[in-house]
Amino acid sequence: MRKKPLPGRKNKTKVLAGAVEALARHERARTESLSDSARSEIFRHVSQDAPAPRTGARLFTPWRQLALAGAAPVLLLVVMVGWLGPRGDRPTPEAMPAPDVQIAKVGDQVVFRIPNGTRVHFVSRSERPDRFEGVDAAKVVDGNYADRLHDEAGLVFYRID
Amino acid sequence: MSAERVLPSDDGGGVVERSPDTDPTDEALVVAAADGDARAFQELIGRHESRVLRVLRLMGVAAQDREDVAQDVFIRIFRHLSGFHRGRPFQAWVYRIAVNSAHDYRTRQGRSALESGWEESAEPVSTASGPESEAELRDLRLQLTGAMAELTDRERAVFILREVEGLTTIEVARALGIARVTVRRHLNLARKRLRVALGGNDEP
Repeated sequence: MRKKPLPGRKNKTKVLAGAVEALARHERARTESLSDSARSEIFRHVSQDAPAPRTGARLFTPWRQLALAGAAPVLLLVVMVGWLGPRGDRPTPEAMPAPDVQIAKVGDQVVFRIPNGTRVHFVSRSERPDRFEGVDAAKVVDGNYADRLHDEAGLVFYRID
Repeated sequence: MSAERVLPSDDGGGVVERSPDTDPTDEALVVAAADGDARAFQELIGRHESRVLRVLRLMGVAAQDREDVAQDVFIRIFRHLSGFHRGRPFQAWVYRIAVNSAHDYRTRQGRSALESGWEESAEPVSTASGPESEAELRDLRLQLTGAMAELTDRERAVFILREVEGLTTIEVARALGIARVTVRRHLNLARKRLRVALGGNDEP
């Protein structure tokens, strides 16, 4: 790196002030953001620490929903495995192993597979994690469900019952 | 007065109710996120990610590791949300965790690998507002960032928060959890060393 000629003593403070101002202006003008994969990774971690629901039982906590939703709209291949739990009004037999959910982006679709789930599941889609009541649920038979990806950037939340 | 309020959601977590013309405060988002509102935490990340990435870069975290360290920062933030002292500035807390994470990283990596974090942005940002040319400003910035690499972590953190982030002495003290007099001492030391690095000896 080429250095400028040494300034006189009186100018040293001025040189530093100028350099600081140039750096500060440059840095504040830059906007950086985390990648979608980093964001998904954060939510994958925090979903393990998220507070447990106090009432009812959901298949996905909001944290898990967000970890999934953060991946879906970016149109990247994502395979995630989540654990289904019993929903309050649809009890799961205790003897049944916890089914796993596999989600992948295939073409312009998000494909859900529940290979060892029950025969019938219901998938609800919402743009708000707290607004699944009253949303039409799609019936999933034999563990396969696909939803078309939408172009708009934004989060989409899925609940699988 | 803030227009948002935190409501219990149907799963027991808090949800920030947003009015159309105001954004929720950081504090409201912290309360909601601590209660399980994923969107509130996502919004906190969105508000502070640029700041965190900038501090990590200026603290010498290498480009290839920066996202990993930033992830750690936000995971640490989440894990300690419940312990966050309400009424204190969230931003200062974010700065503290970012600086500590950068320090941990530097300790793990050793000083040899540290300064690969210095790099110019791929797309130059025009910041020239006076007679100086872009090339001169860039040269100045590079000299300064190179000189900052020689500061101690604490001097560097104080200098970045005070001079680049524009915090007051009190805010820096709060962010780093040190006394104001300590902030001033480290800032003076940092300035002195940088003056020497940029312009030869530091005799008055």
